[in-house]
Amino acid sequence: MNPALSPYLRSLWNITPALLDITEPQSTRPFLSPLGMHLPLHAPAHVPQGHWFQAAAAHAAAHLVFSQHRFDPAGLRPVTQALVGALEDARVEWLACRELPGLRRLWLPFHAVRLTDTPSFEDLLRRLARCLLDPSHHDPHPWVMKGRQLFFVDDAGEMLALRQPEALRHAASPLGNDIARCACSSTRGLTR
Amino acid sequence: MGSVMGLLMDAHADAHALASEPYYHPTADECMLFEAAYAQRLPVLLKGPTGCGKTRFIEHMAWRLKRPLITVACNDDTSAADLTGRWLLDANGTRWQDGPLTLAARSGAICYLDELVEARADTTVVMHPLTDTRRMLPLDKRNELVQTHADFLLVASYNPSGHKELKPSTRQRFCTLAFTYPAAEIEVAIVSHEAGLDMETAARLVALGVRTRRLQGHGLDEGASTRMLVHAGRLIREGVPPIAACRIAVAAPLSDDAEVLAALLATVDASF
Repeated sequence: MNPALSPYLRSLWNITPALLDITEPQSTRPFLSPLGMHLPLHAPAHVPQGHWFQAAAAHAAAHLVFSQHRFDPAGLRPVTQALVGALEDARVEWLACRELPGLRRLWLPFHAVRLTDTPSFEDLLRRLARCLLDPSHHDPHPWVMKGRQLFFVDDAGEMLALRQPEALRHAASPLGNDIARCACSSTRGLTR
Repeated sequence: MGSVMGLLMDAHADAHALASEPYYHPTADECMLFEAAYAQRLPVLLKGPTGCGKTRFIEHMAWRLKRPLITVACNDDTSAADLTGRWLLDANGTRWQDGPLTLAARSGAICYLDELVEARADTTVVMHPLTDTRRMLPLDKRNELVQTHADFLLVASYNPSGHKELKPSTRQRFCTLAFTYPAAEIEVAIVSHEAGLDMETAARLVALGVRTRRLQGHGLDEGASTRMLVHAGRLIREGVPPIAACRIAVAAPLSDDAEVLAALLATVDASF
């Protein structure tokens, strides 16, 4: 565990979560629990290594600060659950960047996207996350553009539309329906 | 001889008069309280962390009260003789040279002993009769007892976060005005004014300052002072990018501890 993380989180948000190691060597996904912030022993192999722990801890801290309600996935399809999670990630990052704009620079390298002719649902989710973190980034895909329009009030991306957990679900639903309608496995209707 | 000396000393004291109003943004009723203490000639101790505006406050009050201000930056070599004066040898023989405290006491200036706690213990011997109803300054080496000028006031400053403490017998002679970092809105106005920055950039600097202060007692003795934020602001005003300015004016001066410094640098990066 990087010993600078604890003073870093205290200084950023005045929070002092217990920082805990995830002992399973295969697990690289940080998570929060009532015990504290669980961080893996190693950064994932496919991401820039430099500031990964710092970025992961700052992201988890943004959830601690801005996620007031625990997301209840009951009754939602897996695709919609994934969308609600992605939109909530984007929402807390946007709120954090409003106070600490340099966090956007920290997180952007971990939002690298690849543009393909036949994007998978996961590809589109990444492209949407990239657009929501950096509103100046333009993605021509209609589904990504639709997600962006649902997320922000304005074209410049300076005002958040999705402020409440219910709003996240309402936005995730039509986006999930689009994915389902277009038979995500082929993504024919989503191709751009 | 006495009158000649007196004229010379008055001229010296005038040299310490403030030509223009030093900028100071009040944070509460400290100006009124100081004026009341001055009206009663009660010695005042300004207590607070470094760089929070104590020195600027006394400069401002000296200007408001139209009194010369004689400032002594105390350090561990500052002795009673440095404050009161000493005999000097020149071509004409020996002559007495008043120290800053004696000069202020004779001429009715405000004498500001900055970081009094740093001075040697023998300074308290001369200070005690000055800070009670006697208002006298004994000059043993000159065999003189100076009755202070009616306008004279002794003011000292003290940083409680330091590693030295003032003795109760000294502290209890002073009224104490406790200073801390100004409220965020006021601090933004101060940083904006002092650094010549727009309010938005000043607000970013103050937010960074607040964040560093969260580490006080957790790796830092003190967080960033208002003065440090002003320094960073001046560098920005000179065209230095904010992150570079805050790295050298805020983060690097605050700590040498590798972990705390890494956290501070990362906080600077996140702030802009």
